[in-house]
Amino acid sequence: MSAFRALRNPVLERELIDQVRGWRPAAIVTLLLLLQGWILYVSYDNLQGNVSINNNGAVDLVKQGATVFAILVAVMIGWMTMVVPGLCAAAIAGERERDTLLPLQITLMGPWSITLGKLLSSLGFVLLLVVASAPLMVVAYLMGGVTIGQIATAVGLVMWTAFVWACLCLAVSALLQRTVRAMVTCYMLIFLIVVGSMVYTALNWRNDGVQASRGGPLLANPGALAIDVLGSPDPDLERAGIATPFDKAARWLHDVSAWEPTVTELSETDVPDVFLDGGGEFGGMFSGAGNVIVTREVMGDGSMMETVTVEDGGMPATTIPGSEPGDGDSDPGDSGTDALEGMPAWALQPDGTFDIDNWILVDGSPVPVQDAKMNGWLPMSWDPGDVVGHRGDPAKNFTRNALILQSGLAIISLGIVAWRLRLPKEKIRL
Amino acid sequence: MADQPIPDAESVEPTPDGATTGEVQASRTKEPPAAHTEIAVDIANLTKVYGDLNAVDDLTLQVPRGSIYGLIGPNGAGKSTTFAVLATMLKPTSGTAKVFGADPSKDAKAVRRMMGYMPDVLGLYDGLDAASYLDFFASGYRIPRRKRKELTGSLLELVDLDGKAKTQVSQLSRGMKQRLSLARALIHDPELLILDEPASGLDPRARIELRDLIRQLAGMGKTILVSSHILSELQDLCTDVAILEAGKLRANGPTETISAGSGERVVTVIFADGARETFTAASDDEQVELLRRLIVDDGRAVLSFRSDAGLERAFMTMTEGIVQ
Repeated sequence: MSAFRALRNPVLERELIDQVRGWRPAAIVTLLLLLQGWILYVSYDNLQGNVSINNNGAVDLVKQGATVFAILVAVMIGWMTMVVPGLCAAAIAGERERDTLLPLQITLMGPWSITLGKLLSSLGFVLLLVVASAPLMVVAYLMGGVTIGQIATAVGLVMWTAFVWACLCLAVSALLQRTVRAMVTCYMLIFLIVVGSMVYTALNWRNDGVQASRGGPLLANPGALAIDVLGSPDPDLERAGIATPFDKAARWLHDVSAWEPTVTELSETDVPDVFLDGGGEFGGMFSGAGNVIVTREVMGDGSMMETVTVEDGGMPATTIPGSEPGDGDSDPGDSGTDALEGMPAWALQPDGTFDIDNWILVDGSPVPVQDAKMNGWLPMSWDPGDVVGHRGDPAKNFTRNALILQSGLAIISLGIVAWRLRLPKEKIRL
Repeated sequence: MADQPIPDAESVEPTPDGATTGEVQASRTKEPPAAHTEIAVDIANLTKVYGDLNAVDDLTLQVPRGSIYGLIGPNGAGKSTTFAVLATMLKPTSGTAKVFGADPSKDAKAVRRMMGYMPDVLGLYDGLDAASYLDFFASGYRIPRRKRKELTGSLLELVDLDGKAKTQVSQLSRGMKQRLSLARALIHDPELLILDEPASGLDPRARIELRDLIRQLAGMGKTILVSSHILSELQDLCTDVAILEAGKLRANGPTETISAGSGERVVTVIFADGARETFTAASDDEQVELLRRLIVDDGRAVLSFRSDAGLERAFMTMTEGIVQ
């Protein structure tokens, strides 16, 4: 019933007509389509070149389709970020400026009805943009590498971005008296959320395999949510050369902002045997400046050979014998050597062994127990052998937390709008 | 007629504290008997304070149903603030206001159904044509779609804009915009119309048209509250007036009583030879006698005369020395 009433909203009806008049809306649609068309053209050109050289064309097609799609979606999200403040900043401040707000407020519409009318009308124009660019998305779909489900999710995220920005900008518009001031404030606010959150996160990120930041302000950024949902942080994608821009961004996001990391005990199966018992011959070899790295090589018979290498400062890399293939470990359920990837060489004790009790896996990466405790990922009283609280998948947590925070911001913003539109008040501008 | 003198109304004298004395009773030949003593707007001890400014200061007045009630006073007298309280826009600091028994600050929705408000600033959407503009507000008042077309048509006819239905609002003249704004205030057929400075910025012709329109609306049985600082205009139009100054009520009652209460008037006479002389007269009779004496007894050629009396003079007398 309320949804039906919202659709029969007088403000919505009037604004929908108002919005598509004049040259500006046409220009906004045309520019977006030109930009997206250009991206598509360049990508397609690029793709044809690739196919003719590379006999592995299928992979390229998948990569191109997914990449083109990712860029199209990124452009749309960016476009929303630029257009929505322009649409919404004037929504209420503009009416106040033209003295049309008070007559509207004393009709029988009520503050929520006016608020929803304003919100839905700006989203209506956003929907027009999405529908207009649908044919271009279809081309990306035809290139392959994108599922219908992903397209639907992407459209949803574009709309979500527009929704969150619209709510914030309507609140600014309701709070300020002048359109120009509201517009400047809207753009500043959004710039602060988008760029500020990234700068804050980057500054607080310690690149030592330990997630120092926990998402924080990035959670308020609908763009980060889109990256998180549409991209996969799986490093294998990048290795295989098929990571889309969203995947790369998701990797960054994952690295810098695992909100609640999964903490698991390091089991013996995670560690190559050579580190557990043998390896005496490496004792004292490593001063501690390097990292344990894992390299993979596809063998002639299609099997994967993994080599564990320790890079230590300027010294030539030392390949640890017995670490290949499959790290020479025959434990059932062996997870391979990934758990040691990126582990600092100093983790190896002077005798060349590895003290499993001093390490714990955070999001699959080895982290010293002491660091995990300092970061609050483990209780300070934790001892080796104690049960670790499993706190779920960090990626899902980011999605969930971002959705909660952004919904909260949106609802609070709409509440501010309705509250500002409520009459009678203690003070009004006559 | 609604604007005829009211013979049985009590004389209401201004009191220092601004409160009214006695109840204003209006009798209307056209009204049903039940409406005779009915009160449309009942304001009691209404006070609105902004910081250290008393915009409205202990205002008490009653607007009889079916009257054209004028609020007059200089800028800042509290007219717009009073209207803002009645139009459910502003909460009073203290005191009460009732519109047909409903409190605008507590039961805003009920008041909005019965009250049409026309602000002194023209808030018009430039992009719409006159008919769409009215249609938008009709839907805002939840008037069903099927009724709206006929309604907006008849309203445009009422305000003499039926030829301008498809004209963009921005193309209308100031007077037309004012009438469109009035039509908007009438869209839900309210019992009470609140018109804040409706004649401001209008040329004389548009002003006369607006005045006729207001009379016509009063003839339809609506109660009309109108504010102005153009006093002569209200004198002709209103059945009752209240004089406000600095938020305080200086006088209120039927127009005739207030005008008559001003006592002597200044009569300026211009003679055919260009001479200009000023006389005083205590009453209408004395003024007639003065002119008779000048023309008949003295045999002078009177070209024109102006009697500076009535509401304007009453206003000056009552607000003297208080205007800052």
